[in-house]
Amino acid sequence: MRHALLLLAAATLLTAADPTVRIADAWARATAPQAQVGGAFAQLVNDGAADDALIGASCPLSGTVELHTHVKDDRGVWRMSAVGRIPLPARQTTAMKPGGLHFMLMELKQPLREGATFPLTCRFANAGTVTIEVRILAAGSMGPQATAAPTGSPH
Amino acid sequence: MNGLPRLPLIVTAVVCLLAGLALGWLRLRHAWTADAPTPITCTARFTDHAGVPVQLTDCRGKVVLLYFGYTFCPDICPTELGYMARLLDALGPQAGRIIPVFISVDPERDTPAKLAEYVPLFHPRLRAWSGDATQIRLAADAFGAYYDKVQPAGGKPGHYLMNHTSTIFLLDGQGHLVGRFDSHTPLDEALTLLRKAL
Repeated sequence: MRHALLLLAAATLLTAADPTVRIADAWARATAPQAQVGGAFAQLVNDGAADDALIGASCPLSGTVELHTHVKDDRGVWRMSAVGRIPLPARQTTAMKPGGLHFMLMELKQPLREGATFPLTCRFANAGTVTIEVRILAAGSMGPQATAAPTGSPH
Repeated sequence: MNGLPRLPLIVTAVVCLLAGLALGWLRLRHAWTADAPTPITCTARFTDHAGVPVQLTDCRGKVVLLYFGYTFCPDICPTELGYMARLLDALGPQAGRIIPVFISVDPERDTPAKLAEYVPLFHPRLRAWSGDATQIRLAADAFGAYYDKVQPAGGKPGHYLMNHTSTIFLLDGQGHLVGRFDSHTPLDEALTLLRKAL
């Protein structure tokens, strides 16, 4: 039994230290000073040969972090709902982006200020926990790629 | 299905039905242009984020961009308001003849003070209007915009969400609806409509 527990502990450490899931381009939108919620987005890259899933997240700046999705029905109404887990199929990248999957930071303890960063810890079903730094972009930003391109140009 | 509470299902079904009836015409990928400018009768009275009473008729003579949303929205509203800001920036000095308005559908949480610190994050010229629930409903009905409050199961009472239409309405100087679009509409298409309205 003791050996089994040690093996389990070792396996957990190994998976946590050698995650097969990468989180790229993590960013959040700046919020107003009194904002209670914030939204964050990222690319979840599963390099592994096995499926995984994002099952939770936490962040020191907010009371809780929920995984949410938005679905626009065919009448044009957006419906937001919490999801328990986000499946990450093997060798695929799952995008968390505006208008779809996002991290919903609830009970913000301080506003998200443009230009700052904050740590976000993601829990995966198999890959363990991964902590990343999230860049805070402008409140109306569409992400790091969109920011790199000039905005406001009619052509 | 056993053990699941039935009330949320019934509520969801009713909401879907009502949304379907109210918004069958709101499908946006490309900008929608009115065949003929459509008069909008909206007598709703609001307070803007500076605390000044305002109503839609006060905007006659100016082109109006109108969006219904709420500040607790972390995703859709910032996307649409960011798009609105890009339109204004793209128009340059012409944007001075446009009044961009964010109407909050969440009067419980969106006080004028809160809106005052929210809208400048997107554009210095963006206005925010709030009012009592009746006035907001009056305005939304005038535009065929839809919203309803959703309390997630197990969530705290103050943490409710709003399902809502995410459409930017374009009114010309006579207060007529001349177009609708959203952030999925190519910027050029929306700009063409705006320039026509100016």
